[in-house]
Amino acid sequence: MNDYYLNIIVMTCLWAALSGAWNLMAGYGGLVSLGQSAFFGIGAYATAVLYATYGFSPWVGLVAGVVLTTSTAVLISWPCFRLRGAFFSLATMVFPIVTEIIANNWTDVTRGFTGIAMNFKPGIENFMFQSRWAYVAAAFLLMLLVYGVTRWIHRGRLGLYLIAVRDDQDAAESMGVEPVRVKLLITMISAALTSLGGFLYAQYILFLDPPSVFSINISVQIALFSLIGGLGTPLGPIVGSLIMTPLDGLLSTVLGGGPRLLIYGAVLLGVVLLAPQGVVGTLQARWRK
Amino acid sequence: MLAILPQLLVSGVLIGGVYALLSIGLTLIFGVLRVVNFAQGEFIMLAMFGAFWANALLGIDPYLSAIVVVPAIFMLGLLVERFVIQRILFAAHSMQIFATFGLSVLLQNLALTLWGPDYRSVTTAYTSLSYSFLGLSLSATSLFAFIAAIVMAAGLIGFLHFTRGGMALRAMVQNRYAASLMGVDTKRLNRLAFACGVACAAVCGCILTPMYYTFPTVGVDLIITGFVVVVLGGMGSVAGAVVGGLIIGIAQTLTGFYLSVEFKDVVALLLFIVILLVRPQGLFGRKGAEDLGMK
Repeated sequence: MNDYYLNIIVMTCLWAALSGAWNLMAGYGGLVSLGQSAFFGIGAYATAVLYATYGFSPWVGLVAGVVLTTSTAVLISWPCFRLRGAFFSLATMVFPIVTEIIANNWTDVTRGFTGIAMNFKPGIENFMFQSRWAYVAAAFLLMLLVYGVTRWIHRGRLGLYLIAVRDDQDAAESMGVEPVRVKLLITMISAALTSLGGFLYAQYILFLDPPSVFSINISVQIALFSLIGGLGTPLGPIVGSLIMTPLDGLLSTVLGGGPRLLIYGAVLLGVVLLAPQGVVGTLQARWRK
Repeated sequence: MLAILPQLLVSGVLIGGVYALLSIGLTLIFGVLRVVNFAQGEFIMLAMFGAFWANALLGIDPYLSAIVVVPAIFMLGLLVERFVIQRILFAAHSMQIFATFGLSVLLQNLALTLWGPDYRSVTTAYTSLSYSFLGLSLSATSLFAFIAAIVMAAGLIGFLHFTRGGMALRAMVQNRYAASLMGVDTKRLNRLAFACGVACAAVCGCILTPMYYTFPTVGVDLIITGFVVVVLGGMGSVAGAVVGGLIIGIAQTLTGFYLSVEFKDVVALLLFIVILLVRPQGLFGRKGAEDLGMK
């Protein structure tokens, strides 16, 4: 197996994990966030800044990233819970823009738009490895973790509460579910998992600049994979990423930026109009017949 | 520092007019269809490219090109309503968001594929022209944008309140089913409202072309402010879009001068968050607007 294919496997698992974290919020909670790249970027920047600027081990960065992302998620999503439907999505779109402005201007720490590079010193203490297989394993474990969490929520009480709030907030509230509490909980879980994805991305790529992690395109891609696979199913994001990431690698080598995203837009629109349940949802519906 | 305040306020009001212009179409579409059109910025972008090419290839003035560009975008709006919006009108919020968002990605990258990522600009005789009035200087292009915004808002408000069509539209917004029983053709009104909202974006695009760069992602840059304005003014309220635009315009100009230029964009976003916290329905909006008339 050469590096090209291993890279695609790492990316497939990473995107499946990121998309799965988003699916928790959007698929189960009805919280269609278009701001996941803020969580992703904060997680990535936390480890990169602590390692490159202050010389801390990435393991410290990992914990710091998760703590920082989760607390940011609480701070920024709380006011947004007053908004329903599309208004929530509108508000979440703002956060990656703000974090990108901060990352661009806070040059002492983030080094601005020139980007931040991490010195490659392989070893488990730095979470950097000679062999790509190690990254494959890490990304696969992260994907499994997200799948496990989703499965657990899917079957449990929290999942039921979330779905109840998603389908009819007023009715759920009158039955004793506290909407803000369950929404907050799922957002924190989703943010923490997305931050882990950001950490892994930073450790793997070893170079970050603001547009590469905060861009709205990342939020779109995260959402798209779940949508294709099947919103609100544990397996959906994985199936979506399995289909789309290798295809994406192929498309970007063959076509380049513009046409590639053009196809993204068309796929997004096509899925919504023709198969809103996604691959897994459609298959499940057929299975039950 | 204070001597310049009147000038800052005037500039802020004029910029506010541009923001109002960005937001009127958005608020109209939401007001009638209860769909947030994430692709609104892309229609502005297409109109800007239309005006740009009309100028570059045929030498037509960007303002004048509106005569062709606006009807063309209106037709495109009719098509989009027929094939996309109509099918998601009663779907879940998430599907509505992704449909219009997908459309946005599609149009943006269509422009990128066709015309490349370059920043293009149109220079006309009045690009850097400014008028002096009582010692204040008014930039001609901003002044035109401001006038266009006021005329468009007044026209829309007049139409909604004083014509039969406007009354039918307002009846439909209150109760779709009852309006259809009274002989209101709701499908046709939906289509017209969407196409008109998109045509407002086209007017905005033609007016912005002489004062702004034209490039494939210009719509995203612009429409973020449009969203802030619309949320501030109240989704679905035309008057709210104008007032919201003015508030944001003045706030940005003042912070840009007294604090720092980088802070200018952040202040609009901060205002946005504060409004969400204090008055989520906006200044002129109604509570529960997202579901009004759809149940």
